[in-house]
Amino acid sequence: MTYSDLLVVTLINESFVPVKADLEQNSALAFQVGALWTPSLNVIDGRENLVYRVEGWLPSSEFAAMAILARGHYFLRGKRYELAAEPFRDVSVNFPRSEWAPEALYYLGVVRYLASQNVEELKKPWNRLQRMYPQSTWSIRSDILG
Amino acid sequence: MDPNIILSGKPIMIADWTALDQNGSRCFCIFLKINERVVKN
Repeated sequence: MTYSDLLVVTLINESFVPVKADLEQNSALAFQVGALWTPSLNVIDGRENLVYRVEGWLPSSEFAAMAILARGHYFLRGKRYELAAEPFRDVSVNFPRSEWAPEALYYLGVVRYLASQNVEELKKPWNRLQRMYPQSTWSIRSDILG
Repeated sequence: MDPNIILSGKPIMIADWTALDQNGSRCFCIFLKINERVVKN
């Protein structure tokens, strides 16, 4: 049970306003938001810009990791790099087996670099990414470091 | 921020988040609007 999981409920209550649309009843909205498959989980900002989307059911730990990661992307888009680092770090440390952990490490390097302009801050998370998740597409993307 | 006016088509605010587990077969689209009041604090 994903949605009644205590971690998920706490996360939703603390950080999000949840809204549901039944796409069987509203095909126009489905078209508007570009929903091709359900359930469709869409994290949006205060201006209703899409921040992150996942289609398909997720178990509670993956759902929580995704929602936290999305907050990181929200801060990154707003160039609030110091704030973005915390959720990315949170996912990488507390959800290391999550599907989103490699992406979190990748973007942890990105935001730390953007905050500091110091390439060493980029290398630390990316080196960890390559050690822990060598098969990940995010690890491949970080191969530019050599 | 009024979630009841989110997007067009009048999606509904989720009064009971946990009840979603009982509606697993429904074709729903969930929007998680980041609570910017929390963020700003």
